[in-house]
Amino acid sequence: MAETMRTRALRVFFGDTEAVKAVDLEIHSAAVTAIIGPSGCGKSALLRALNRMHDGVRGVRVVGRIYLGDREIHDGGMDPVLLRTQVGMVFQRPNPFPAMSIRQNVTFAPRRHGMVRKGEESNLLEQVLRKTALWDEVKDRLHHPAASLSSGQQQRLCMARALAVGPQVLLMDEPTAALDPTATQRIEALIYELKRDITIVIVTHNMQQAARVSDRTAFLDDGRLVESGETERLFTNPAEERTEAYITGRFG
Amino acid sequence: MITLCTGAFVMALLPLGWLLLEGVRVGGRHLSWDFLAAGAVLPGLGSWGSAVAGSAAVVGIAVALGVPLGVGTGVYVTEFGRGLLGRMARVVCEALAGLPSILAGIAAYGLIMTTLGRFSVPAAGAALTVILVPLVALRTMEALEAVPRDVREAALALGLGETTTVLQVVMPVALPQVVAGILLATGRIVGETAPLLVTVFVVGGGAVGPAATLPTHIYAHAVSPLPSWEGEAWAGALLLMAAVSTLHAVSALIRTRRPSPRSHRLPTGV
Amino acid sequence: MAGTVILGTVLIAGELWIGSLPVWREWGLAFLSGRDWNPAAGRFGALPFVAGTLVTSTLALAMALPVSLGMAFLLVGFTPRPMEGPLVFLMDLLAALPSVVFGLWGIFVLVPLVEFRLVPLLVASPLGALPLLGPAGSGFSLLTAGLVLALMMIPLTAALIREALAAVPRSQWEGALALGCTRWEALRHVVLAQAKVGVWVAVGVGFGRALGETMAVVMTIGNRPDLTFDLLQGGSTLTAVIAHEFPASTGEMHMASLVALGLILLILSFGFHGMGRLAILGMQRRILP
Repeated sequence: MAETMRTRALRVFFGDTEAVKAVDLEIHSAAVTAIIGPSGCGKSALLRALNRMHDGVRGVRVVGRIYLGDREIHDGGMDPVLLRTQVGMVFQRPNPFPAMSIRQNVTFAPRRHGMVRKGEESNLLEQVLRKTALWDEVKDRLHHPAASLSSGQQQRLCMARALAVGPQVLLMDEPTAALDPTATQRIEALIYELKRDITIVIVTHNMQQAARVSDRTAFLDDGRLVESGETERLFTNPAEERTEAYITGRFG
Repeated sequence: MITLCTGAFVMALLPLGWLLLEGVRVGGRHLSWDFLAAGAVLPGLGSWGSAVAGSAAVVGIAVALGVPLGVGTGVYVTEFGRGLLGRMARVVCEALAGLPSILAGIAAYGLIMTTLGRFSVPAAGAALTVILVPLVALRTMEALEAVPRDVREAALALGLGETTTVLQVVMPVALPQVVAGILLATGRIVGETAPLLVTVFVVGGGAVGPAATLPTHIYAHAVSPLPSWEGEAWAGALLLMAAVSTLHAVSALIRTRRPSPRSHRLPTGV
Repeated sequence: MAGTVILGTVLIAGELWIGSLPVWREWGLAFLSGRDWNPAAGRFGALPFVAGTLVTSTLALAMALPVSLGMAFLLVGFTPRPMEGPLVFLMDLLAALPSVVFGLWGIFVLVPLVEFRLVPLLVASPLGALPLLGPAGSGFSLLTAGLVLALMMIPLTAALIREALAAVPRSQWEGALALGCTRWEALRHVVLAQAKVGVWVAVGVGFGRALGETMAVVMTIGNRPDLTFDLLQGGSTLTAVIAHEFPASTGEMHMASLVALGLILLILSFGFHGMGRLAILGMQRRILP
């Protein structure tokens, strides 16, 4: 199920500003890759290019190549809608669909994609809710509105919702920025569980989090990829001076 | 300074309250079932009951035509109309919302009365449709724009298409606001008088328009020289105000039941 | 869908143009400056109505704006929260009351009031020396029409100004208050400055509404096709003369002249709207989104 991704000379422009500058990034399969860097360094812009969330946004231009496995994601055969079923995303703020129940939030997309038959919906629902450790908390109120959950639960619901589509890669854009420490801890534990089956890319401004959950880390500064590699190596023995300055807290 | 503001407040509300009071006091005295059935019958224009029916027909046509058109335009402009057509449609809607309503009446008169002959209910319905569409479209745009961006992104990130995202994810969130907006817009056309005056009410050359409506009936009674008709005009006005208030109240109920994500308040206790 | 809306607007303008063609063929632009309106004699001119529309609308705006500002200030800055919701609802409702009801109230309450109480008071006061106030006529006058228009405009403009003020973020209030400003100073110098565009929008919308308002005017203005700036005399406006004479128009030229007045109103209204948009864009210093 898990797939690798890599970018070649990837640039993202917001109007005339170049937010991501010629980035070559390797994302290993069935592992967690963390993207760190000071705010405004382009890490979210990079992440959102990976499932073409910039498409159709006025003023944003993406240049360069991005591969999912062996396939270039801007190729004719790959439209953004199809791509996003393979490369899912979890956002900074929990964003369950407000007008839907917990159950509908999870089953809506698989049903639209024709991935699941009517009778199997409940199985899928239970499976992804168990994966995100929500099942026991919500199994008696699946028809309640998603907004009735706490924000930590909502974020796990958003993860379950993304998993229900069966993606090979899951992109997470500062998924714990809006959560309290307990809820953060639960999400991190989940990430650790999930990486057996799925490739995960997580953007975070929190270096401790990157060190805790990721196998590989990429350090971005001013749109450039300064350094990337094994997390442990990068944090203990950075090759670049700039990286060392950032992780020891001298800037950013 | 607060005194001055309060003064302004009272100065404005005093006559407005007086107006409401006059409606209830004088109108209430004349309002009865009997009044609807019979009332003073204007030559050729029928009873108050027929006026209510006429209003219902005219407003019904406008709602049936205008709501789908208005909602459709609103959805198109906010969600799909990134090109010139979408931007133009928005500008036109804004301009059209400020169109003097009597002009809608004249245009409908010219377009429909002269082509379909002297049948007035469709012309009046068309005139009110012209007024309703931009109002509904603008309310729909507002409601859709109030849906947070991350709801859309969530749907797109699941690989849902744009149409599915708009119709099945965004629209259900905006729906209460859209319905509330439709009710307000309907309240506005229920009381529109001027466009009806030049479509339904035309008495040109002795031929009499076949329908009476509530607002034109009020006007006809108000400007008549018979003093006894003043009370009846107020009774009609009371009916009209009741209809508009009801629509407003229901609209407010729908809006407050699910608070809009944009609702912001200022500190008052500081 | 969107195409239908644009097409409809073009149709309306086209219909007014075609309907008024006989007028433009006969008199051309001289129709605009014609001071004479006498359907029986076949003489038609637009000036009295254009003037009447501008005079009543301006008068109404001049009276409504200070009051609306005061109401909006009171609602935003000095009203306890539990009262705010109901008051806002009440104002929305008043803004939506059918104009024929305002006209009704105008005929039976305001006209006598103006004739027997307000006018004697005005004429006796120092204001009576103004050239705008001539000898007292009946209560059906430009002044009465302006008063009714102002009354209709107030809930609308006040609601719009309130919305503009309420949209200024709470942090701005707190910032000003933390500097030791009083609530009034915060409102006047910080909040109002930021809501400036919104206040102008309210003024524009109110004026636009007054330009196009028909019923309340036709019922109170006296419907006399004379060119006058004397507020105590009867007059007419573009909308009023159409409403008053269209249902019983005599002959082709009369009808075409009324439609021509409609076209003038359309151009005034759209032109005013467009100018307002440009002015707002200028104020925001940015290009069309």
